[in-house]
Amino acid sequence: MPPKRGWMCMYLNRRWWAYSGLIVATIAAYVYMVPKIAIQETAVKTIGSNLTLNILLLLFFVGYGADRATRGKPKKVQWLAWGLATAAIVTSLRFLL
Amino acid sequence: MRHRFIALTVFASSFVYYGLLSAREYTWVFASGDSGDWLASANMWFVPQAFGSPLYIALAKIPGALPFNLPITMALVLSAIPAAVTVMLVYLIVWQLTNRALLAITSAVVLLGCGVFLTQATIVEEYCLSVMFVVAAFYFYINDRKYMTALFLGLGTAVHIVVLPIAVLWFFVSYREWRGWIKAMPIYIVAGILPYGLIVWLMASDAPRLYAGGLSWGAVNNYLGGTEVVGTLSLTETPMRLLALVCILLFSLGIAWLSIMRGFRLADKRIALVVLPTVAFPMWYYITCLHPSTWTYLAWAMPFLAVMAGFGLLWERRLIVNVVLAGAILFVVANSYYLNADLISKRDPQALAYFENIMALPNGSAVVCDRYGWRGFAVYYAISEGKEITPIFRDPDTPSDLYSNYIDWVHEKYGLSGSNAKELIEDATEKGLDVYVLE
Repeated sequence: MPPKRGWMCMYLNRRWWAYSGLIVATIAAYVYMVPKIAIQETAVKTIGSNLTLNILLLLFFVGYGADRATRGKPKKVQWLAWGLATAAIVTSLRFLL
Repeated sequence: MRHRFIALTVFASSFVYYGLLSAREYTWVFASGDSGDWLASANMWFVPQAFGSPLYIALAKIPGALPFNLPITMALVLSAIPAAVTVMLVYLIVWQLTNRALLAITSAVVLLGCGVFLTQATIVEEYCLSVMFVVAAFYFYINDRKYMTALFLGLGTAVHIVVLPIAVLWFFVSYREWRGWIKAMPIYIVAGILPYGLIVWLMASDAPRLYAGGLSWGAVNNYLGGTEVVGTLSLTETPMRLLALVCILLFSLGIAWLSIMRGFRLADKRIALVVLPTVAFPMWYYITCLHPSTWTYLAWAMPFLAVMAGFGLLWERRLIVNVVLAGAILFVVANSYYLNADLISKRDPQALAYFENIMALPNGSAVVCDRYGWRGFAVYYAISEGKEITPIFRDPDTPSDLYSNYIDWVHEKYGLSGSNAKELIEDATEKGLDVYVLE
């Protein structure tokens, strides 16, 4: 049983660890990211793209998600989900055209 | 009365903070290469970058008409003031949700210390104005005032098109109340969609054809088709982009994250369902967009996360509230140096030097440059300031109706003939113009 009183309980407290970890991660993120944010537009470099892979992935997740999410649900909900899935697929096709 | 006084104090102190950190001169800091386009929009009517931001360019005429230094006036009027109003709205929303002044103040300070939001509040950009309208819409949403919600979502859309998918997501997650939303939809269309008629009108008018101009189906398609960066980030790059997202979220909100997660868990479903897509959409956009500077879109998510932080603190001990507040204050202090737009732009005044070089060119000369991007936008700004130069834009990679419309315009306005940049340069040289190439 972890102690309920005294300074030791602080170190065995899950939330204390969560806050401590978050503070350390925040400092690391600040040191790492702020210099990358505080740059001029001239230093921004666009990196490579791969459209086909992303569209395939999107189609898979949208279709799979719509199917899983609406199994056993009323017909109306299934139609709504598939409508949204179709809209997402049509939107993604816009990038191929 | 005390509550209103605190709200006004929150607004005033936020405005002073943002005002002190705002860039005093033309700058590209925080990836704000678009600022030249917006500054030019303040000086003259023309079609800016897609999708046109009609309300922003209309409001930009106010700082444009004032007799002060334009970059700082525009940053203060259209970025710092809306950002300070947003901080005040966060205070009001959290106060309404929790009825606890300390939590409302903590949320407001969390937003004030938020790095991403600060970067957009202190430069010439359109995001904070749009964010302010969306947060105002949320304020009315929690008060169940659908018409006002639709109005402010519409105003946000008229500033930046990204609010359109956010509004659609709000509609979908509130589908149980669809009858009320359908009634409010005309207000949204009038406030948010109809203003884009201004851009169509500008394309049809004889406004300078810099970014776009000349109304035709092909020209509109070229204009709106410049969105090939959306959703096209390579999957192999995705892990690094995810890491960048995590770092941005951490350095923006820090230890408030535990309260934010608690807020999502415990919030009323009606509120959480609206906050979630508003936060998720900009994150999705950033993770999948080819352009790395789209972290700026996270500005839409930040006020909502700050609200959730305050809400999550409702069940916490006073000590935790104090820790989160202290963390936010630390951010406010640290950001005032490390994310100080004025300091950074003075240390490395690239944009100002570039602009001054253009202004130093002899009047009547021709300038070869990109049609858009930070170089092109700097030329727009110089022209809007009355610089008498002939812009010769480099050829686009693919044939474009907009480019041929530009060729027609440059012939009519400047008397240069040619079907591409090379021929225009040759004609300019034959006519005895000095030709300068901007790199």
